[in-house]
Amino acid sequence: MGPVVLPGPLDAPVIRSRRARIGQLAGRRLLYGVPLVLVVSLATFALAAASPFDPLEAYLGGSGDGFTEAERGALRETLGLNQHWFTAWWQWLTHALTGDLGYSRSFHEPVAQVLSERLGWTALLGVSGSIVAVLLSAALGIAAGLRAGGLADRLISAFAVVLYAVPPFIVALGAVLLFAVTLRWAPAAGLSDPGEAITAASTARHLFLPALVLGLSQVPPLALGLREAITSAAAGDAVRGARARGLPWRIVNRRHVLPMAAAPFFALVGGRLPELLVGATVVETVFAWPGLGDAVVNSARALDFPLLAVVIVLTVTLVVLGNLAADVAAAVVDPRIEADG
Amino acid sequence: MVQTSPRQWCLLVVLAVVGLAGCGGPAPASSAPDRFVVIDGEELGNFNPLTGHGSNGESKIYESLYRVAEGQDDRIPDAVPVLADGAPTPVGGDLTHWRVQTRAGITFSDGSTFGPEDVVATYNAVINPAFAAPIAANFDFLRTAKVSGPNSVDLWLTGAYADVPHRLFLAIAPAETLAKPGPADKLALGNKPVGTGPYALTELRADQVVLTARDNYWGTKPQVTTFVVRRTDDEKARAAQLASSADGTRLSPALAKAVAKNGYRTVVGKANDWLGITLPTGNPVAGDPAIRLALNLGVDRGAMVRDILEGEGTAVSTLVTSLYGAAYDPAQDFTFDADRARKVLDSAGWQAGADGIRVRDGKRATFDVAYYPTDILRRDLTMAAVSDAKKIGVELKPVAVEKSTMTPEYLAKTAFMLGGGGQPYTLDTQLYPKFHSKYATAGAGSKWDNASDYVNPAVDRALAAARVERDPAKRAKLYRDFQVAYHAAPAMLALVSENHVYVVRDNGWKFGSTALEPHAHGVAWGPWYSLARWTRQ
Repeated sequence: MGPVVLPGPLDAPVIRSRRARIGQLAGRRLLYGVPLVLVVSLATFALAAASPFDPLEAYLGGSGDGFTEAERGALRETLGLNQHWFTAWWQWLTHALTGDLGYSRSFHEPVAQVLSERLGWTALLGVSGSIVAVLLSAALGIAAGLRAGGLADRLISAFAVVLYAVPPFIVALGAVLLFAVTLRWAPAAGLSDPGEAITAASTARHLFLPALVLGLSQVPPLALGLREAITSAAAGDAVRGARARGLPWRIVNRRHVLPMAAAPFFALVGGRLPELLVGATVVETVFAWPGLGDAVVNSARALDFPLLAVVIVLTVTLVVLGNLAADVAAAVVDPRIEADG
Repeated sequence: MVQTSPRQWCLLVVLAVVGLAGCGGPAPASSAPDRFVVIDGEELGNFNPLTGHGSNGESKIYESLYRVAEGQDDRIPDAVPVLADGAPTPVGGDLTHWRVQTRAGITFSDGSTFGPEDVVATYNAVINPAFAAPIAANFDFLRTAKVSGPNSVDLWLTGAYADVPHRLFLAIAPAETLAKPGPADKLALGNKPVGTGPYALTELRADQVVLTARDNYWGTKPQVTTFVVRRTDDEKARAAQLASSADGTRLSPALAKAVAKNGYRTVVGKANDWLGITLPTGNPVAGDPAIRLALNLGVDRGAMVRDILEGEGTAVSTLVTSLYGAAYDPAQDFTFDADRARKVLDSAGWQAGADGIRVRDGKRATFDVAYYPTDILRRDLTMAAVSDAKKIGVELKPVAVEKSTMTPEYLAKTAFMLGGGGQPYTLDTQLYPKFHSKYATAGAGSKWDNASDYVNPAVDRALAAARVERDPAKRAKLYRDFQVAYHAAPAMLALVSENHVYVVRDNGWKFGSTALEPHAHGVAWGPWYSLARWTRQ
């Protein structure tokens, strides 16, 4: 449905439907995204060029110690590593617009191929991890928030704080040693058992631990945030009014507290989950999961501009989309929120 | 000397957890009896001979003219002919032209026939600048290769060279795959290797590589029919995964000892993988002959091997070690003697100052030592050297640097924690570029060649004569002469050589000793160097 504009000679207030306003918010955000992607990719090239990493060293991979300076210069020339970062960026951009994402020096294959091999696995892990994170944190956050100060709240809050403090690397290793080595419930690494083909069943088994750990890593901020949102909603005037009208807690919680707490929770989720899709480096390393997290580190160290740029652009896009989705969801569930971006 | 860093705490925690987890019961047997699964720390794929795959004859997919013999780590291992038929023979008397007979009746994994043109194509490609091969400098002795008969190849060298067989370990690819010159990393060989070796690549996935024994291999078909390589670059994660999903990997000595139980054991590969500190002539303190000698006497290499390498290594004084058999003169090693080091400095006029650091003519005995902080071993060795030097009144100041800092100008004035051991199969490749005065002037050779800018005519004479000496016994004598000359006036502060430690599941396979290993990281070495020759117990 399009915006309804009332006729009139004056700049009369435009009355638009809620859905139209949300649509406009989305359009505006996506438009902002374009210059944002340009600026961030430009900054990526500039920062990478200013870093102490040398793409020639990455190409030589430690075996080029015998080259003279003149030979090293000739190699830079042959490999096209002498390019100024701005030229490299411009070339990347113009090629990318025609659909050519370039060649990844760190993976020795076209960027499109690197993405086709890894993006799916990253997405699978990221989405599974997000589901685990949202379900677990919603359950724990609600349980803790509705009985703030109770035993469940104390246990859950303490667990969340401790989990927050432990480095994800240790959580991941602990999970491997507990579930894979000692209990033997799930395999520790890869997409299938060693030497076997990938099947849906093997993928599901191999996905279990990394998705669990990745999801767990996001539970503390989300669960604690939801708990906070619930307790502050419960202290609000609307709830006091509802209680004064004699409504039972069950109804108050379902009709007043939880809807009010949902908007800030969605904002949290939208802000944090995009990093699960490209930032799962530690989890991917420990579980030998062949996603893009690995590629981020490799491409940064090798000054692999084409791959680095694509990964960064992907991240920016996800952050923009994540925040947008959160705002839209918040506007949908909470009529008090203005969807004017 | 050793501080407890967060990384070490992390290691301790991991060791403790690994130890506890090990109590979970015996490891399950590998599901398929002819399969062996390893976890590599290196990136999977990249099977390109020009970018360094199998450059010392260790590839499972490709073969080389010669490879090093396993089980010989008390001398330079023999060069065993593989694609070559017999040893190379010099043509003419000046050692600049050699002929290699190649084997007939061998096919590549794609069914094409192997011939001398493949050898010629691969060697010419590696030295062709258009291919930009990262390992090109290892073949700077070679001018060109030509087919000289139905089964023979002629090599023309850039100068006289005696020990040619130990330089011909390059993995050979079919000529057709190298027909179009261009940057080596874009060759199709990287992902679609074609070799004459015992295994062929049957699966290349982002998370695993599967090599399968070839039915039409010209030699004996390997008994390990499937070799699965997976990858995890973090060694603590590798240690954790090992028990549930793999039969072997490479680890640092401490971790290897922690996981070597419940059916796993460690295998130590002797390696020439040395580390030492350059003492450049361009630095008035580091380049002073008395300082150079005193530091060599004043560092406790034995303690470094014991405490930092956990015993898995050797002290190195002259870069010649017991690995080199008759060429090694143990009497020329520096034995730890701090008192003698102090006397050397006293008699050279370096007098102890108020703060314990020596002074001569108003100049303090202090200089910077640059090191790469991301390499834990280099960092620990640097700190140990700093602490030992302080006890004899010399102050080394550790400076963490990135690779891009290491310009030739910087290296000419600053001491640096250097690693070596790329091609350990001739003493010439180890010593000549490091100590011949030809590389002491700016711009000569690579920046790492003779990084101390050391000039010693006696050393030059021995190294030049050994390079063209064909009789191994006489060559060994010349290298012993080198050690005598070096011992009297050392160029740098060589410290230790690190052995490589592997963990292997005992699942009924019998394998021989490891081969002398170069500086390398992957699972191509260790017990897997001889994978094609493993047998069932």
